[in-house]
Amino acid sequence: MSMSQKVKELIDAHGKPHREVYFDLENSGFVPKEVVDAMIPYFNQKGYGHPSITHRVGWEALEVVYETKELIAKTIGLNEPENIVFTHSGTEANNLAILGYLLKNKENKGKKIVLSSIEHLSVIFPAQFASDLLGFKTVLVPVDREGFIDPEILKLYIDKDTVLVSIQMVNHEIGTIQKIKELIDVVKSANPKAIFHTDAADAYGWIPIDVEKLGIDMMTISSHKIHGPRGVGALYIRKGIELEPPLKGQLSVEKLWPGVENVPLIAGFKKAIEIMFSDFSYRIDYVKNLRDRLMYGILDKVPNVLVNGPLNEMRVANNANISFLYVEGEALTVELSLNGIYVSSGSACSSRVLEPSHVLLAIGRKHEEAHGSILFKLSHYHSKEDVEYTLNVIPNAVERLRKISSWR
Amino acid sequence: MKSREIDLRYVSVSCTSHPVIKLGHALAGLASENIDEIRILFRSDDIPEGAMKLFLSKYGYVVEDVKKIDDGSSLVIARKRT
Repeated sequence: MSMSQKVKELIDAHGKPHREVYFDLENSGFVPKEVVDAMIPYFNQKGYGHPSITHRVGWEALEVVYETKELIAKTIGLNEPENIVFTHSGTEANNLAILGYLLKNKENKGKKIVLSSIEHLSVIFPAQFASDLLGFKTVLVPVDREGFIDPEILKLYIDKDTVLVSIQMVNHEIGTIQKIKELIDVVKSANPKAIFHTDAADAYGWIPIDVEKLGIDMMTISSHKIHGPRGVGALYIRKGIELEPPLKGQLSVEKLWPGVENVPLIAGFKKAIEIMFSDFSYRIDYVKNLRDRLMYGILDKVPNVLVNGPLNEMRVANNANISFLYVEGEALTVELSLNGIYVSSGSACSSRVLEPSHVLLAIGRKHEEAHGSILFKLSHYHSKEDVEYTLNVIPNAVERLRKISSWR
Repeated sequence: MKSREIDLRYVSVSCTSHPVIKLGHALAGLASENIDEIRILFRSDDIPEGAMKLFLSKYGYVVEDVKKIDDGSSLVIARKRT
C-alpha cells in the first residue's frame, strides 16, 4: 500500500466529526474566506506577472508587494517600507536574519551568538549551523519557570565578542511575553555593536510593536500566525545593517532573498493584517476572554493538570498550553481529533520525532509533563460555543486515556 | 544531608538537548526534592560563572565554592538557602 493510500485509509477510518474546532494555529491555520478572496485575483486576473518585470501585470504585482510592505511598516511603527524583506516563511526570515548577518560579518566583529534557551528551532538551528560552518560559538541563556529571561543574567552573557543576540518577543509554545525593551537595553549597554534580532512571529498582531521605540535591529513576522496563508514571512532590517543572502539565485524585488515573490500569498497576508489590526484592542480582549474561559475551565474540570507559562498579563492573549499528567499528549491529540478538536502536543518541530519540547524542558518540566502537554491557540474566529464544546469533550477524553494509561 | 551532582560538560547539543536546557530542567526537579547541596560540573563557555550563580539563586541555592578543574571546566558547590 502506498503512503497516500495509508493516509487515506486513516482519514476514512477517522470519519468527519459533526463539529470541528481548530486550535492548532501554531502549526498551520485555516485561511478565512475574506483572505482567500483577496488572493484569488492575483492568480489569473491581475498581478500574476513577475513583480520586477516592466509590463502591466508585473507592475500590478509590484503594487501589491509594496502596498503590503507599507502596511507592515505602518503596523510596526515605521515610515519606510524599504526595510521590510519578504521571504517564503517565518523560518526563512529567521534564517535570513541569523545566517545573513553572520555571513556578512564573519570577520572582525566577534564570534559569540547569544540566544534564549526557548527560541524557535528556526533560530537555534541556523545559529548552530553558523557555529559549525563559520566558527561562531552559540550560547543559550536560561529562562525561569515561566519562560522569562532575567536581564541581570543576560547581561553576564554579553561581552565585546558578542556579535548577535536573538530573543523571541513572545514564545511560540508557552506564550511568555518577554520584557524585550529591557533586554535590548541590557544588550546595547554591554555592547552597542551587538545586533538584536527578535522572532516576533507570535507577537505580531497580538501585542503592539514599535521597532523604533524598542530599538530592534531585525524582526521576523509570519503570515500564517495571523490567519494569512502559509508561505509568506517577512524580515524587518534596520537601515544600515548589512546582510549576505544565504540563498543564491535570481533576485527579484528582494535583493536579499532570491526567487519570485509569491504575490497572491502576499496579497492574502495584506488582507490578514488589515483584519488583525482593525479593532485591535477589542479583538485581543475577545480572544483573551475565550482563552481564559478555556484554560480555567480545564483547570476546574480536569484533575492533575499544569499550565505551562505565565498566568498573568505577560502571557499572550491567544495561548493556552496545558500539561495533562498521566496522559501521552500524542494520544490525546488523536482522541480529541476523533471529537473534531484539533490541537498539537509539544512543539511542532519536536512532536514529529516524539522528543519532549525543549521549551518545556528548559522551564523545568519533567519529561512526562512535557510529553502530556497540549497547545491550544485561539483567535477571533473562535466562538464561545467552540470553547464550551471543547470543555465538554476534554474531561471525558482525558479520563478515558488515563484509565488505559500505564503511567498510573 | 541530601546532595546531588549534575554534570553538564558532556551534554550533547541538539534540538532538545543543551547544557542550559539540562540545567533548567534539573534544577526545577531538585528544588522540589529538597536537595541540600548541589555540585555542578560545567564549562564557562556554556554558562558564565556569574550567570550560574545568579541562576542557582533563583532556585534558592547559594554558591559556596567554585573550583577550576584540570580540563578547563568548573565545579560549583551550592547549598540550599536557609
